[in-house]
Amino acid sequence: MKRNLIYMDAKSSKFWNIEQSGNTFTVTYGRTGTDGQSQIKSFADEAVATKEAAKLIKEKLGKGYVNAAPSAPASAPANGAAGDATDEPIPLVAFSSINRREDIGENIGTFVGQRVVDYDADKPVKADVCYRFRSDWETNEVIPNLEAYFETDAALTATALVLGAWHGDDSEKTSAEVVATLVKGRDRLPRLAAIFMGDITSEENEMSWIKQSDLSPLLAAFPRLQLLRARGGDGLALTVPQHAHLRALALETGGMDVSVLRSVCTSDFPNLEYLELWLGTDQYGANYSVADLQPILSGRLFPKLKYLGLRNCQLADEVAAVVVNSPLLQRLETLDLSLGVLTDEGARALLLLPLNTTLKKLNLHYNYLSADLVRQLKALPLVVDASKPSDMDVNDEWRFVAVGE
Amino acid sequence: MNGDLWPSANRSNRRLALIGNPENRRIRDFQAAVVALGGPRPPCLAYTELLSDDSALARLDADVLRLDSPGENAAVADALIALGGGPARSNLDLGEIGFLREYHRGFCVVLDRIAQRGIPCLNAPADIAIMFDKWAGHQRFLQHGVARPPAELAPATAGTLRAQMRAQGSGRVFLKPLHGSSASGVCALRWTPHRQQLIAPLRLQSKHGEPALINSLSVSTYTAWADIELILGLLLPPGMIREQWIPKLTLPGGAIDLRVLVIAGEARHWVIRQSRHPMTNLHLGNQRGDAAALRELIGQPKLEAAFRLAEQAAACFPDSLYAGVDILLDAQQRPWVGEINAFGDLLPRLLHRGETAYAAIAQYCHAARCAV
Repeated sequence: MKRNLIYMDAKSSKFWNIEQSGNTFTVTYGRTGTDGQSQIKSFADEAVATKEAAKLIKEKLGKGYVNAAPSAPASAPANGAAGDATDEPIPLVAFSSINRREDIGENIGTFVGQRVVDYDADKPVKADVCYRFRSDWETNEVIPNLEAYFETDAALTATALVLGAWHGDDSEKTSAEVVATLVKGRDRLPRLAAIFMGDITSEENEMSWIKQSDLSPLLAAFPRLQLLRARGGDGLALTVPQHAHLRALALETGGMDVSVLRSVCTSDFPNLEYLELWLGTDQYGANYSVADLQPILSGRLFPKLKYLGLRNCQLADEVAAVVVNSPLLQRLETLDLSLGVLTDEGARALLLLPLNTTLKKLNLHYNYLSADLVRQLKALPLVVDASKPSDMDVNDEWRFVAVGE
Repeated sequence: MNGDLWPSANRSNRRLALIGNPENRRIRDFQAAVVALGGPRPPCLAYTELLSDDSALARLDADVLRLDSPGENAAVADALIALGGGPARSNLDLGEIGFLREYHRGFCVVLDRIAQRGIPCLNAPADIAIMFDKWAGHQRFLQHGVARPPAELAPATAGTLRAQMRAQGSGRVFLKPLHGSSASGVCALRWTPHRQQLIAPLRLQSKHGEPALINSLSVSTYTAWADIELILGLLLPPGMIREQWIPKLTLPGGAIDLRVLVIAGEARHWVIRQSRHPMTNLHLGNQRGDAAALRELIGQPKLEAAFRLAEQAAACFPDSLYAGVDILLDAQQRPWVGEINAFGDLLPRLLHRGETAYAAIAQYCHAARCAV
């Protein structure tokens, strides 16, 4: 018996493998890309060993580990460092970034499983990391640094790039120039598969203040793109929402403009497996209604969708009430309504989720649920995360999404 | 260090006295630290007594003085404000921010009287006065080439500040009262032509129909200019320093800075202060950060650079034995001096070379290097 699990989020990328033989099993675990360390355990007989192994596996799955792609080598998943030029599919779990409310205040440490390092023009460029480009508070070298990076051989094999605070001291500066620079450098980034446009913490700029721009030129310029993640809703647009191979789209906002939602709803992303939308609150620019989500929930779009996140949403209760009837549930594996204002009202709707669908996971982290409703949700035959940050007050008459301003 | 314990038979038995608020844990804990080292419990002259009795200082019989904070005592605050030219009774509510300039002026008078008394002090009164004046402190750092965020004096009215903000387009600054301590009255302000945001550990409320500011343990965000104008209308007139708000390095758990206690020229006890707000002060519900995580992220040489900068900052005050220096690291991991604190040694339970901060300072109380 052998089981290979992986875990990825904004902070870490890890693997955990177990192999049982007779009354003994070996657990190997560590950071992705390393050999990790092994522990061998022996038991009285095979039955006990099997039971103990099953217990450990369940524990890991509960913590968010998922099965590694069957083709991926046990301890060295895709990171683009190797010279072979095949398009290694990024594991679905690697598309997610912020899992917990407390992750929001930090720059990411990993992106699609790769370690993120700030680009430093004075240091030799490495091929086995993902570079983040951002301004410092005195000088803004984002564009020159990007251009210098394009000249390196590392760029030719890079599969992931992170753009941090591009605005320096001027928070009015939009992402347009960065987008244009990336588009211009497209021939130097032939393998680019994942872009994070806006790894910006609240210490650098509030999410609702970040000035975005039309990101669809990136879709046109990078045909091998699998993931586009962006943070900040102000100025955000996807005027030409089409891409033949895009597998994941994640738009984090404090308040999403309905025009962006309409672009997503009229998009042509036939291979999309992962859709994460932070809808936000009307205080920070959100002007959609739940009806605007209908094209997504109707199931007409995204035939391959496995993950749907409607997060940081002021209207989480209403979303919950309509999502339970969505045909999408016949193909989704994960439904994520975390970081929003979900109350018992929404939870009662979720108790009506049809069973015997493909749905395996329900993420409701950061919620305003009572203990009673949490208990009822946990009785569903799904992995349910109904955790709350310790400082949340369920009874507070003011209820906020996790990120507004 | 073992040969250095108090009181060493080979050293002169210099008698130490404290000046502070005796009910405060600072005094109690320091006395306990001296006693734990085998020394006699040092007496404490209370600021209340010093302020109400002109002969109290003259009667003080000691060879070395350690001055501690006059803070957290309403009667002392009232007396300092009165001494500094304010009203005889300030009528400040608990935690209310007010009469910062008068308070500082009164404290400077007290410091001057202590200096006149002529007993050597661990930290020279003149140094303490400068450490409590943000602009004078900034100037001293600049003279000595200490890395400080760019800073200037803020205008005295909210209207002028707003005009400056408009002319600049967008920006981000810290506004700090010239004569404040800890995070009291410190505001993080950022703006664009369309909006603004002031983040501060204070509550704006109405007192007899007038706006008043109350220190708060929770950090609030104000986005309406009307509120910001009221807040700054109270804080700007007595003087503020306007300082570049450098985005701080983040670790898992939030943005961080370092409090480094420099004793006798050496960076000793240090702690990572971590917060989800722009203010990292530990009393604001913030937490001590993970030193191992910081070391892994920036490496030992950059951590050492931060310590050297703290030592360089403390060296700007050669007549002071110790100082708490706040070091912030920018996103490029370069160190900058945020603040220097004459009473920045309250670091309970934190050990360096097996001793607490107070124990480390107590070691020096009888040494010859005390300044006059």
